[in-house]
Amino acid sequence: MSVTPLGANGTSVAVCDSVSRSFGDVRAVQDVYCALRAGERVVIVGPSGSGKSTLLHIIAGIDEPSSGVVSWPALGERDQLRPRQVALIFQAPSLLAPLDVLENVALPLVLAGVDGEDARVAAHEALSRLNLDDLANRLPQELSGGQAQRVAVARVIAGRPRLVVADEPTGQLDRTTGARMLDVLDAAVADIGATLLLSTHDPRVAARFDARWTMSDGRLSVEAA
Amino acid sequence: MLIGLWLRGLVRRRSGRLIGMAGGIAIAVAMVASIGSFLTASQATMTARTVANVPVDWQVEAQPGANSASVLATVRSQPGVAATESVLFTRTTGLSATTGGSTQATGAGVIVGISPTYATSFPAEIRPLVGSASGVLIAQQTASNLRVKPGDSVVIGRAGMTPVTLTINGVVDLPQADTFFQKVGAPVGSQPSAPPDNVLLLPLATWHTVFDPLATSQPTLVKDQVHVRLDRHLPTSPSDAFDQVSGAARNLEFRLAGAGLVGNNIGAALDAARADAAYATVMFLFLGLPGAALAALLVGAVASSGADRRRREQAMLRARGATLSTLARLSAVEALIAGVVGVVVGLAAALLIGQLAFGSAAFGGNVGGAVAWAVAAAAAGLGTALLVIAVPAWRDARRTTVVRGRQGPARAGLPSWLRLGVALALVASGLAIFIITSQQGYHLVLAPEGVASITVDYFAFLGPACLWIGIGLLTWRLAETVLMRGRRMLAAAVRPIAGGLAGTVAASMGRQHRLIAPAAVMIGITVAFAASTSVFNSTYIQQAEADARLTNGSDVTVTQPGSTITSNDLTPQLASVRGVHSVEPILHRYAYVGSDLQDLYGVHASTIVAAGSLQNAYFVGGTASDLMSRLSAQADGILVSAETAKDFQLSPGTHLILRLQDRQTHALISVTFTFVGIVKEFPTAPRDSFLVANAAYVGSSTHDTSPSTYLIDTAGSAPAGIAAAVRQVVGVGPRVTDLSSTRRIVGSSLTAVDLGGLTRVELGFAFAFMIAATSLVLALGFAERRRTYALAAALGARPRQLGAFLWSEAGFVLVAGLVCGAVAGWGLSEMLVAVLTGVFDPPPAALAVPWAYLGSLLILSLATVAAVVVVGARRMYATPTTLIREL
Repeated sequence: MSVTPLGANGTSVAVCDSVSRSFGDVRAVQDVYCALRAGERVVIVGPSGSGKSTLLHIIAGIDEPSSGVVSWPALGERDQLRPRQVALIFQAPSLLAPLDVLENVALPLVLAGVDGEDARVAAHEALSRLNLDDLANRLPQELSGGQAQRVAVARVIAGRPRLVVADEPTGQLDRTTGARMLDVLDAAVADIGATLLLSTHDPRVAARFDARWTMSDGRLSVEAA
Repeated sequence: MLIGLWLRGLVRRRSGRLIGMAGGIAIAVAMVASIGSFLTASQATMTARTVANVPVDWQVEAQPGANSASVLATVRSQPGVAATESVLFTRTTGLSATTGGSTQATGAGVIVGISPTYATSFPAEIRPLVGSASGVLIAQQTASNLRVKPGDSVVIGRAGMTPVTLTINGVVDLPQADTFFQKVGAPVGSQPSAPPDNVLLLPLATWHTVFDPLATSQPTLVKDQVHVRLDRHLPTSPSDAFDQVSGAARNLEFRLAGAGLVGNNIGAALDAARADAAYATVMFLFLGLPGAALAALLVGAVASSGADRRRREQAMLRARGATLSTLARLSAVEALIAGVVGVVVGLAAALLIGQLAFGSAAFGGNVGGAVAWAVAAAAAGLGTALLVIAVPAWRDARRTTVVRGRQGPARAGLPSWLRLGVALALVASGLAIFIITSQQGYHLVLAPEGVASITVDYFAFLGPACLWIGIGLLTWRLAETVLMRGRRMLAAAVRPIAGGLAGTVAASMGRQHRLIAPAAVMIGITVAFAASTSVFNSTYIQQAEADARLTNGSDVTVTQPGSTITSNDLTPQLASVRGVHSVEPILHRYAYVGSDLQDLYGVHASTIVAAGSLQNAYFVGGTASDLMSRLSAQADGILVSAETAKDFQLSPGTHLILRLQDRQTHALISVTFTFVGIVKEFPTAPRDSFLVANAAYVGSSTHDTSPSTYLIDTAGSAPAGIAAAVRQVVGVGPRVTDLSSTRRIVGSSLTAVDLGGLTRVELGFAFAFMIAATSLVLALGFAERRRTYALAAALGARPRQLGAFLWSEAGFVLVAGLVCGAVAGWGLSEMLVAVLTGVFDPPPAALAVPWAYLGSLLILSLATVAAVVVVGARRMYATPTTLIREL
């Protein structure tokens, strides 16, 4: 028997059809059906170890399901997703240590084949939009946690992706800094018209989203908006 | 409990790093054990070969008035004496014989009395040629002079008495005549320049019958000797063996209380071998220690590549209450695991190497020496492990706080200009010492003849040491400078690999200079080690071959007996022997330079360069061809030794009047030569002074054009076989020697060492270092930055783009390492050859570069790098999520 993921259609940016992912004997994600529509802002909540990160990685295309199918109807095949269509924000510092802030922000564009100078201009614009111009020449190790995450957001904006996947982006930030970072992320995603999928186990963060998916023991339950 | 947990964790989670560290220690242990055991074995070989070439260990001469029987009894009671023979010498006023209707007479000669058992006790002294091996024996040259054969009669002149006639029973050769007829107790310089030409050996009873009346009337004409063979239970080291036999000889002289003097032949032979043994030790230090240091550096590089992670772990442990001593114990456990595994594997490898390269686990030496070196190597391995693994970890632990551990290592140090200055100063010091040590007259090893102590000038070690460290630091600074300040140049260089990513790759490499530059240094030092070792070994082998060729003259050499002048030119006969490619005749004469009698070689200047394999190093002031051209252009030209040129203040064009024997009149005549240059070495010539002139001029001046030496080129055919065929043609008179036999004889010194085995071992280690350095350094560097690469992959980097990072870094490390290593290798090779010039005889004109070996080393390096990059890129792209989760 086949079950169509809730709300899946031709404009969906990502669709999971009976997706499972195992690591040895551990089943991190079990039989997940879901669909992300273009422009949606969805939060995945659940306790640590519930499979949130694994599902996010599968939807972002950096991991593959052990069984089931994941597709990106509006974005293309898996090898077309990154760096232009899907962008990631991690919980841990995700800036490349040997590159300065400007180079980090420009990196997805350079990887996409954009000319170096054009990439730098776009990176400058993204940093300006987030008022991070002063940090352009700093190295990641010279940034605070909040600054590093805001630079990660700038990196997302510079690439203008259609899907932003953020894995507990405020997990290592204090509440104030986390809130400010989310404000920036919200604004940036709205600005570029991207779909946002964010995981958290913080109820205050979850409360900012209209749609909520809940993970528990690898299983996903989707609450309608 | 905690140590057990930590141990399990290390084995499960850090097995790669542990294996890398243990591998480095294993290489160091195997290298020290192998080369050390080889050193001990080679010294034992030197001692064994040296004493094997001594026919009579001691010649104890009874002093005038001494009781011969008492001397003999004292000698026999001396501990360590295995066999004794009484030998009597007296002088004859001359010998004569009438054969074939003509009478030939000689000048004064020596009549020796020996017992019937002498030939058994000292078999190397007398070589029977024709007729009986006992009875009245005549030396081959004397037989030739008198034209006698077994069965003929010889009249022996006795001073002041009537002559005696005896019948010859056999013709013999006295191969060790120099020592046999030595002047016992005389200083080295006052020994006779040549043994007597006319020698007759009589049974002791016959000698007493003929010469006892003479001994009574003129006792000064008689010498009474006891020839001694020792039991030869000697220490393996030539130096220790020399001390033992010299001490025993002095003890015997003390016991004889003036009744006898000891001619210590075995001591003299060991004395000469001592310097070679010292050089062997020096070679071990020069060639072995850098390898061991390199292995230690490799272990250090592996250990330090995990330093950041270790600091984080230590911080975590401290935060959970671990004490400093707990952290120290944990690091000691890690060091011990790597050390013990490395020692066991290294010693097993050394055993295998000994078996494969030398045919015995003890490297051809005694088991005791091998065990001692194994213990020393094991101690060095464990010490290295503690020094480069435990000590840095303990030092970090002392400084680590939780906050600092999370921040990463603090970097501080000297300003860059000062660091560059230190590197340059070290290189300059190395070069200055090189210049000093390469000046003429410098002796690294000083072993004065007869003096017990040997001096090794360890100052010379400072040169290579400074150069090693200086070049290592300089490579580091240059690599850092290029990485940090040459970003545009770097971007342009990596653009073919990285394309549009070139700027990013260059920026990334520039900021990782602290990780990349040491990798270039490691590879540079490894290349320098491999290059200098292989070039030194090749040069050594080249010169050992040149030494054998210089001594023998050519593949096969035929020499007429000393005073025999034949009118026959053997060239056509020799040329007809199967396998002979060409024959070069030389006129060997003796000429008086003032009162000094020197060997004179009359050569054909146009052909001798190729026929004698003349090297440029044999001459001063030009190449071999240059000097021979000068000789050819001047019919009466002559080349003399530097010493002769200095003594007689000769300058080009100076006339030199020599006295040579005229063939027709047998009188010495004055012949004028023109000095055209200086010769240092010449095939078959003695080491000291000699002369080289045109054969035509020497022949016409002395009315004697007959060659006395023939250099035979076999064009690659086995010299020994052709020498045997030549002997059939020339008969028993002329001496026939071949290159392969001469190699063994020349090999009484350093070249006796089986350098082939040592070379295989050293070059094998250089290969191992190259693989270990390129793979470990790069792989660990990539592993250290896998988070960076995993993030890049997560952001969308394609395999080709990830590969651009890895290929660019690997390419930089390899190119910088190869360039600096090649320059350093060349410099170190020059320095090693200059400092160790004493081991080369003759000194090399140019370094011998083993291109095939170096080429294969380069290919191996490229293949290793390619494998590491391909595997690394694949792993990083295939599992970015796993890596991100792990970090």
